[in-house]
Amino acid sequence: MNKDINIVLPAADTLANAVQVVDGLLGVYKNAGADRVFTLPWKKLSKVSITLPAAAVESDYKFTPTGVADGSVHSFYITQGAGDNSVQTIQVSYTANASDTVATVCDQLIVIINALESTGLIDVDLTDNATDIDIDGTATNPFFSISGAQGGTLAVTAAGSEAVGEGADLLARGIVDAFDGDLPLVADTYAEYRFEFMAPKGHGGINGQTSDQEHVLLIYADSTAGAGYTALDAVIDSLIDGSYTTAELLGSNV
Amino acid sequence: MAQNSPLNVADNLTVRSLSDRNDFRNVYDLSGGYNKFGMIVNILNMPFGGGKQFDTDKYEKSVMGRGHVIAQVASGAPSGNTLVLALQPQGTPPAPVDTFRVGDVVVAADHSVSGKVIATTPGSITLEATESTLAAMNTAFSTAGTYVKVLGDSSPNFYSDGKSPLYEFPELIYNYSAVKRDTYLASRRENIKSRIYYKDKFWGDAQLDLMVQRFLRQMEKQMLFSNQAQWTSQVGGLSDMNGGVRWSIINRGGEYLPLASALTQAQFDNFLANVWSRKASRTTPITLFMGRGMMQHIQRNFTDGYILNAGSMNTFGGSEVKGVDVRKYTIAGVEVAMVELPVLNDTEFFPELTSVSGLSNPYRQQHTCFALDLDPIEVKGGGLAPAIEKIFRGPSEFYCGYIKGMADAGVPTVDNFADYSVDIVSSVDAHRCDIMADNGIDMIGKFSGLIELVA
Repeated sequence: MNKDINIVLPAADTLANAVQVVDGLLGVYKNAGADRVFTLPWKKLSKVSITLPAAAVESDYKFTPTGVADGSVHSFYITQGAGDNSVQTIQVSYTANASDTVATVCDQLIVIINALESTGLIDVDLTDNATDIDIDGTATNPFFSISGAQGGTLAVTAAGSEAVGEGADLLARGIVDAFDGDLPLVADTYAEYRFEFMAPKGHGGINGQTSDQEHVLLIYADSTAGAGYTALDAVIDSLIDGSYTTAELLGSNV
Repeated sequence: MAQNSPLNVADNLTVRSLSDRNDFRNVYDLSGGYNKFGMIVNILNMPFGGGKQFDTDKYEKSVMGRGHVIAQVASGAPSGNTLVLALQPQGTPPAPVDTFRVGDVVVAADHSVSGKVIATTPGSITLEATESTLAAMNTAFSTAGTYVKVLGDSSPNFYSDGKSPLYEFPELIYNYSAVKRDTYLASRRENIKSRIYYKDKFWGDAQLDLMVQRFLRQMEKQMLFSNQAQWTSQVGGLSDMNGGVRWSIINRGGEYLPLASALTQAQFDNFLANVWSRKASRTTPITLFMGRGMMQHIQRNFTDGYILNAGSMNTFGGSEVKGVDVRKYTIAGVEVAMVELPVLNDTEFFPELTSVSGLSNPYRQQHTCFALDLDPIEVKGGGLAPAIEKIFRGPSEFYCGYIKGMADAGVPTVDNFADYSVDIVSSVDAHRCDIMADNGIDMIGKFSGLIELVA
């Protein structure tokens, strides 16, 4: 496996001409199409895929305690990977006593969830509605799931999902343009275009081998570029679905 | 001066001022013992050389789990005769899942339905039906939140080729060694002859030993309850705090059960089962270190039923009635030993009462229960490490020094004025002793558990 080749396209460079197939070569261009920063032989391309950016959707659950009586158990399991913690499943459980009501059961479940939050194990927003509890994701940790409800009903208002392609996440993953050092912007979101191709590693390698090896080119295009982004995305789509013009694909050296 | 008075002896102030007090030179130790947990940690580390010395900013440890390939489905939809699953991003920061490989056979909760991965992109996999149908796969896999996991590889019968490579790498965890200090400073004039004695000498002499005892007591509490932190203190600058047992269990994947109601037997059994299940095999029972409140609660509510009419030792028909004291608990293949941890019973340090009803013992911290895996941790490639490591930064774990002041200067003579033999390092009329430790513990946490009241 070779190290991924990352190219970060700032908004100004996220244009239809950022990726072009000319004379059998797929080229990646920056500076409004003026500078070709990377090329690969089109016929060596084995797979192209797109991961489009998506905003986070906060998970949203409602737990309504039922059958509250002395000794009744009201519990559920929260699964979340908050902060640096790996994903964990944690039980929230309260056993009612004779004086408890639905409202006090809600109160006690919230006491437990707050205790879990103070440890950093989970990160959720709570609303005590007296007859039920709303448990929502947060901006920092939007996604979690609740299951295994006992002694109450569980309603899923939104299953939720993590954000995809956020500049801050890409930065945290260490994404940096391999050629000019451009970095993803924290506030922007990016589409990830992945090109898998075979090409020589160049001189060197094991025993000086120069035979073809698998490479991965990742282009991160700033989705805030508006029309330029839409146009570039259409170009990549046409690369995948084969609608790119024959003349462009079959250049003079193919 | 008149020496006669109509007042009786009890009411006569002069006589009262001359009355003596009984001899209370011996100071009785009411601490009731301390540092039991530190002793246990020491014993755990003895076979491994007594503690891990390091000289870096933090003590790092690389750990690896089982390396299952598993992800949660975000959405799924049939495409032709295949099923395309979009997967929830994983990790911190969230990144598209890219660990599934062509040839992987995957299953969800229903093991009757499996599918084979025929194409992958980061964050997505495409499945073909194996023994199943597309409709069955769609039902089994496509619901958001479903776990999809690799059962293993399935390659064709003829001319099969290798898989795309997958690499396993460890996770790096760390802890800090924490600097702890205490000081004894005594003026020469403080070291007076007092009514109370220490080892038949002045009470002032006791302060040195008492400081060491105080130091060990704080170490025991920090071993259990210290939270890992590094921050710039307003008094002194950069400071490290060691993550203790509670922190390790909570933050390193241990089983944590916070309670706002009395522990039920079902909860207790499930908790033990969950802790036990974190390892495929164990060589020793899990040790439950708990406060007396929890011990009482377990024995009164969970084990009573098992030992009614248990035999001659518990009936009047036998030789002696010994009552009930269960220290081992075994259920469904889970074996635990119950040990009382005295520090949790310290109502002077833990005076907080619980608001949880149904508990006969009202002290909140007495209901804390650490379920500790004391088996040595296996090292990949061979070797063992203690379940709870003692760590210390620098050449030594403890440091202690005596600073001689004027109080130690000695008697001047013509000779020692001449040759400087009476050397002191402080002109203050006192002497001082400083004790320091730069240490902590490091515990895996994942194989252990914690029950505590949060109300």
